[in-house]
Amino acid sequence: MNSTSFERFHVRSETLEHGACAIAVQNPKARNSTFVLAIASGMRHEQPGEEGMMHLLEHVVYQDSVAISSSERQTEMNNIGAVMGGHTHMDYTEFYETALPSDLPGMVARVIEQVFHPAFNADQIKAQIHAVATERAQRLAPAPGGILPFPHLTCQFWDDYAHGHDGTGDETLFSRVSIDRLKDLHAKNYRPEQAVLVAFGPQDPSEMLRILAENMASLSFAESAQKFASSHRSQARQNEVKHQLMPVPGLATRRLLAATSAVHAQSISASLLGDLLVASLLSLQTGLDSSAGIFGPADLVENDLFILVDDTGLELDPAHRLRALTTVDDAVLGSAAKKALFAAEKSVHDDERLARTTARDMLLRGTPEFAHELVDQLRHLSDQTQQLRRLLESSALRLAAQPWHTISVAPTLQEVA
Amino acid sequence: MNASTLPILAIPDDRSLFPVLSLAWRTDPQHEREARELLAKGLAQSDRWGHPWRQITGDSGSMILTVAAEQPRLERWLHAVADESSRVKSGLVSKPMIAMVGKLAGAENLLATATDLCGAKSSQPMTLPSKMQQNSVEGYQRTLITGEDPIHHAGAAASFLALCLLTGGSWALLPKLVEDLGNAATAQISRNLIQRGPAITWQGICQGTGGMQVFEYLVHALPSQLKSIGEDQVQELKHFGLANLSRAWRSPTELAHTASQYQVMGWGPSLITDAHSELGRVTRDDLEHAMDCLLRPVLEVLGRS
Repeated sequence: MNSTSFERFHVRSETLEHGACAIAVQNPKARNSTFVLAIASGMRHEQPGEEGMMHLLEHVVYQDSVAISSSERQTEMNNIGAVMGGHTHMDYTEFYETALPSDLPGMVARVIEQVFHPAFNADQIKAQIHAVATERAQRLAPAPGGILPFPHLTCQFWDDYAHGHDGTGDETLFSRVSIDRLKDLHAKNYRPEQAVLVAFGPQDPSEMLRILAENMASLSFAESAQKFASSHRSQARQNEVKHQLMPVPGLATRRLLAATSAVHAQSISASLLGDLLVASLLSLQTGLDSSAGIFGPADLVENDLFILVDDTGLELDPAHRLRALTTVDDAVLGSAAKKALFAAEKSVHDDERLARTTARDMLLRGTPEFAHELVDQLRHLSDQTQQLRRLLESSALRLAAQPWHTISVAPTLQEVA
Repeated sequence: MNASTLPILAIPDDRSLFPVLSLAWRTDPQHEREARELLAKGLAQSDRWGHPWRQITGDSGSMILTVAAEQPRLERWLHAVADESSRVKSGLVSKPMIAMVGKLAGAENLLATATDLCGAKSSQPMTLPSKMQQNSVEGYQRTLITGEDPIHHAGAAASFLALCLLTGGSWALLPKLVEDLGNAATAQISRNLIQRGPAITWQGICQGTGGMQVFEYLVHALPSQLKSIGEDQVQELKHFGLANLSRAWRSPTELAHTASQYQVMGWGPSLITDAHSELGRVTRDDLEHAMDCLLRPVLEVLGRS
């Protein structure tokens, strides 16, 4: 019998001093090691007036910290050929480094120190507000009319503040950010007891856990005066359905952006599997792109959106497209299932992504096995045509019956005439 | 067939359920876009419902197509590729070089199909004359010097490490040395394909008309800088090089793509498959010889060879 994809790894975990959760994932054949530190706060944890500050905070973490300047840190990383990354998601924020396995202790020490003890240098904060605003502008620029599902559809879909504000960050941060405000936000959200640390590599898991424990124990943490905000998830409130028309001068073709509620992804359900299949089938068609999640499938456990981007210029009602899916032939259904399987598998066959996914799933779902189970179930399904068809029909019809928000990005009326 | 002469680089890897094939063609810069569009169009027609994953990249005289799919589908797809690429005028692209990453057990048919499709390994080093081009824009002079890649004379690992020494890590010699010159000078070195063979391109930019002075300084300063580097720094350099090469192993798709890139660019794919021992064998003399080879095109255009 084949082992599950999770059983291929040697995994150990423990709770460290200060309450952080540590996980070591060993693949003896790995040629790199990755260290991930993820905290259970993201854009949805921002309060009114804090729009974009969690993203800014992520950038500030890569500036000077109490123990080392950013240029010294960069030199350290350059010398060992390390690469790093950081991302602010809706419900969590992650920081990671990848380098040779022998450099794991340095990576762990570096990332833990910079995440928990940034120096909050005023000039660097200003520079990073520019960087955050530029990042936002560069992300939106290639999209027709500068409109993308995130943040435009997200803000339209949700009526409550936590889900419906734009957390990407722009130059209005200049008038809202102060060092004290960022320090408060950091103290409230970057707490060790809300952090998951994942070490991945060929090393013995016990040795990796020892490195994580030593580095966390060497840090001091002030007690947080501010308590973590009550769950933003319960605040979720959907807007009344809206259909916006956005005329854009000079646009060659129309684009329809559409969103509806995605199924909860706390655990794997038939609805989640069916939605992944539907998104995959839609994406197989020329001019269509679809995702069962605003930041990709299962990046959120609830209050996520199922997205359709239609560049065919036909502006068909998403419900019609979904109902039409139920007539696809078996060969196409099989192709879509394989594509969905590969998309899920990417989060575990890529070593760096595996470490990041493990941290995400531990934070959001309390288990490191979710992504592996998803791969196993999709793998099992991929040749079961009848089962695939049942899942497809159920999900496509359910999604078709749901209310859809749309933004139609279109040439101006004069240009159409 | 001797494995070392096989045009396919097969790397066992059990992380994905889908084998990954990466095909790489050499082309000419003026034909790169045309060839890429023709192949993409042909392949889109031959595989109506797509693959689980596909990526086309290309620059510096190469085109790389990487595909992940289940094995029977990959075999069918390879036949389609053979048909489509035979329709692309032979002047546009070479025969492809292929890297495969995945479970190799049971993949004999796939490997045989791939072998039929690819071209033989090019073993004869091509002689590429060194050339210089200069132009001036808004008070800045740009000097380009092209010539042979040192790989055939200095070996893959030593050439790679010499390039790391010039441009990588905090010791990167090129920016440091050129900064000493002032005059807003910059210097860069890159690898590419010229006339479908491995080549290097030096680029110097400076204010005014002192373009050649940048290179005069480099041919004088680089060898002495290299001699002043201690054994510890050579080990650090190897560590840096190993980290860079090992990064390709993060995922099967990245591994297939990078192995294919090292094949088609002529940089020595064994650097990807066996980086540790390849770099470990490089001696200080090897490194100095590789640096001399990198500087040879500059010396030739300066009339010092």
